[in-house]
Amino acid sequence: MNIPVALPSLLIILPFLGVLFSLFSQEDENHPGRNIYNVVVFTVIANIVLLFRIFMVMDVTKSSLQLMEKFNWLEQPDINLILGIDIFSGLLILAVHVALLAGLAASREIWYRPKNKSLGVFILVFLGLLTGFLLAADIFSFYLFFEALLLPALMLTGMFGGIKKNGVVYRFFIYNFLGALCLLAGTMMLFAEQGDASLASLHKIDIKTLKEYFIWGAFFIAFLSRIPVWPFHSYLAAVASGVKNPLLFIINNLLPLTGIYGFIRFLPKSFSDTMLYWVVGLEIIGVITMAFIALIGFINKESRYKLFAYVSVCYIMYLLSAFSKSPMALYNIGFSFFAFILVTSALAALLWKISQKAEESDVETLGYLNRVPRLRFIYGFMTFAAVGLPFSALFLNNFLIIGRLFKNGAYTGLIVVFSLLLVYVSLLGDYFRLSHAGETPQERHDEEDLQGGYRVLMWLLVILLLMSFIRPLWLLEL
Amino acid sequence: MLSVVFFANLVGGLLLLPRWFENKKAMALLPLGILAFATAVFYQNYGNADYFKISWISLPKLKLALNLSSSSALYPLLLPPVCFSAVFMLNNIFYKAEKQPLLQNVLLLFNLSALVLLACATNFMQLLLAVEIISLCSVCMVADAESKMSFIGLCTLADMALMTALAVIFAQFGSMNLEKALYYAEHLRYRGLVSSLILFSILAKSGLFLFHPGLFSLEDIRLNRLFSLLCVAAPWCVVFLFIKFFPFYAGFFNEISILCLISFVWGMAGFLINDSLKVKILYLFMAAASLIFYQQPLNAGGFIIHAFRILGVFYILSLVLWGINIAASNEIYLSKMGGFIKYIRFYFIISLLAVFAALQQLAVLPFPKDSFLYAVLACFALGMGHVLHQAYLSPVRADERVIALLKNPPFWFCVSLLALCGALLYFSQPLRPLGGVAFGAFLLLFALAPLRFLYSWADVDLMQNNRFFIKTYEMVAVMPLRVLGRVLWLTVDFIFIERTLFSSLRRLYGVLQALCGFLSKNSRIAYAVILFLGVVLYLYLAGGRL
Repeated sequence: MNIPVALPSLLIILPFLGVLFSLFSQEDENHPGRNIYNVVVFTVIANIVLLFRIFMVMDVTKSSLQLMEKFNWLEQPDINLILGIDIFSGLLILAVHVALLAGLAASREIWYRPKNKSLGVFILVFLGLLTGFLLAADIFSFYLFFEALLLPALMLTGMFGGIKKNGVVYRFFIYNFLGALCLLAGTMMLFAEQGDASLASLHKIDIKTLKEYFIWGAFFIAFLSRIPVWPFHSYLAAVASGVKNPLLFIINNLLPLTGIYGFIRFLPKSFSDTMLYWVVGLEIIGVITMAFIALIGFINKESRYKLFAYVSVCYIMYLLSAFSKSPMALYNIGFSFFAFILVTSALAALLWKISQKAEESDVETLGYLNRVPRLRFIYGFMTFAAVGLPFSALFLNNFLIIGRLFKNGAYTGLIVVFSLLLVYVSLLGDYFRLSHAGETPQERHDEEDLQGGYRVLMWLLVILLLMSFIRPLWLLEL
Repeated sequence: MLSVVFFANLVGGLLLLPRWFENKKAMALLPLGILAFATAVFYQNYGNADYFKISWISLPKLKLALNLSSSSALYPLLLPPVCFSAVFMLNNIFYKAEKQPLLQNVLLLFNLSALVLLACATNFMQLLLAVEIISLCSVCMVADAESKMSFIGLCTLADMALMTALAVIFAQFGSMNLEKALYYAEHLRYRGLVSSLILFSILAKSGLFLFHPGLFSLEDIRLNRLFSLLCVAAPWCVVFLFIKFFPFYAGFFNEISILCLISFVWGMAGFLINDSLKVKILYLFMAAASLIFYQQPLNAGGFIIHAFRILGVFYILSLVLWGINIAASNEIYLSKMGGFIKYIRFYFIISLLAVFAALQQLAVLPFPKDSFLYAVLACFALGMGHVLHQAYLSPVRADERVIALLKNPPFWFCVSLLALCGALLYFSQPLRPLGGVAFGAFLLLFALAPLRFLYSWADVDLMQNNRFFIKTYEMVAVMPLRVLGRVLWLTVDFIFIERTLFSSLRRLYGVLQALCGFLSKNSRIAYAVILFLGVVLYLYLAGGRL
């Protein structure tokens, strides 16, 4: 099919067009922040519509990258920036967009203040760069977007996160920057050795010297710096529990996605001996971190930390599954990721809403959901979907992922299941603390329940999740 | 046409679910109507086979379908839950204390659809889906917050164990087909692990000894919901799993039998000692469950009938106790009753009839040894004799208000109890002399009450403590995890990373900063140091050429 417009690059360009609109938008004195908020929301929605168009033109039976675009960057040396999309990246891009919509809906009151233009700008820049990262089909593009993502993430966390400890933000920057430098070093070394920066060249590395260790080590450390694996988990934990804005909580929880995605794209079909050292080491660290974070989430009483623990454990599970290299692994991880991102962003948005409303009413969060039946239903649905009940694609795909992990080794599988059990129990305990403990229904007060666009969005998320369970391939059948 | 039964219950339940908060009893008749339609279809097509599959996933490497094909073997499996569902729907409608009868009946509809799905399951996903739906319905039936938390913890644990076991099987065979997995059970790589996990998953919801804390977390819920949970939801799920996975744990059958014996003794002891009627019902369920699982499920249909009979006995005896509770204005404690025979004679006669029917039903159970059967009959006769003596014949200890309001349970209750007696007696035909002997023993024990000394144990906290095992498990399993989590957080995150690693790096940075500051000073010592370092570096790099 002849597509007149380069759709993948348009997906990246649209958010930047949104940035331009944001910069030139006028502040309304009566409704400060509304214009910029609307620009951001409409840009995200426009990108989602474009993404559905891309799904319609893609050949869903092919597992390789499609709609490829090539931009010549340098002639000497010959470096091209290549973009492409497949089912896996398409699902992730859609999930990221919907997650941001949930965050935008939850943080609406924060937007309606003066001088929020930079917030809108950085969010759109982040969205554009993350989309670019997920569309990258060569190593230089990966590096470019991987590094560039750091700027909006840092600015958002530092300026709007409300984190009181400056050390947290500095550490956030240093870890991610060092990771990006490692990726640069690995990319340069690989290009110097092979003269080729395509993803296929990664599968042909046969240097058999110390350099190969350094190349793979550089790539591993680069992607690892984004994932909450020990010892990089502490900065993410500090950011997750410190950040006050639900949208930024979601954005920070999307950063590990870049690490996992990098691993999935970079890993070849079969591992060389050199790589195996790093893979085995990473598996051990990953499994230990899972158990560690799950235990800490279990004892921590803060809801956001419990959610962070759940997110971290799941990310590490996907990372371990990425090493299995089964033909179905990408599908499983892709569908599971889709539901996972929607569920966690919804939970983050709802948690923030609960704490905000409880603060406004000057009541405890304990038993708060007793007063708001719609919010309680949605929060309960999302919690049950998160713990693997048959409400979303997590139910089937997590089973397949865990099965694959058991194939690698029973001990790995058991630790993964144990960690998942702990975070599930933590989430469920939190749900019951919010919805049942402390208050009988007779003591219900008049509280503002989910209303308007926020309610519609949450119901849309519920429908998307149910569809991902009932007809997982409905997206691909459009 | 099990597919029709499945869809009727599911769709009907979904259509009524938006009105879940309705407390009008008339609305609660709608699910009963849907169940009546489904039951009519069930009976009309009883034993007929048909083919019905819904394609769910059709990826090149993964094909899954939901199987709802009927076969003659499946109908007897589903007959008991269908009967019980109808009975408990009526309970929910007529029981005044139930404020959400529509929701409870809708949950029973979903539960029945899930049981159909479980019975027809031919792949892991369908089986897991059914088990999860049943767990979810069970949790939703529990209203009390603390009970709900404990129960959902139990369900999560049990379902994760089952999921893990199936994941291990899938990992080895690469197939989700249930029959294939059972066929190759002998060749499984981690057979011990899989068998243990499946057995744990089954026993966790069975209510047997050591696994009963989950059951006793339901102590505070309303009796009608307790019966729905104990007679419709949890036990049939467990029984179906018990039948389906028999090849995996066949080697553990001696251990299971020992566990069942201990459970029976513990259950009967608890039934005799405990003062609360609700707790007595829970212990009675424990004893009944032990009788179900004591029997090897070599024949699925026979095992289901066996389970049906035992749960019928449990239900009728529990109804007797429930009736006393209703008659005594919801008084729970037997130590605050006594002398009721003067006030509720009609119900007393029905109670005797019920015990007779229960003992007759017990007498037809096909236990391997006669001595075991005699022991079971003796225990039940002793237990019911003891409890009914305390309620009817012992000195009056009830509140004045309770005595003033004491009257026979409502008409619907008595009729349902009588109907059950009739059904049990019908299914025990021909009546056994052994049942008559057991009833005679019961009457003797009822009159004499040889265990009267146990009445005084109602005031002994140690004897009435039902949370001992829950607290023990919390101390043995949960507390170490909390301690470990706290230790890891303090030592690794706080002391090692924050205090040691980062502060060392910070100090190192400070040292480097000071050093660079010193070297960039306008002083002779700084110049001398830089010169020296330069000479050393030059000699190192150019050393080979010199």
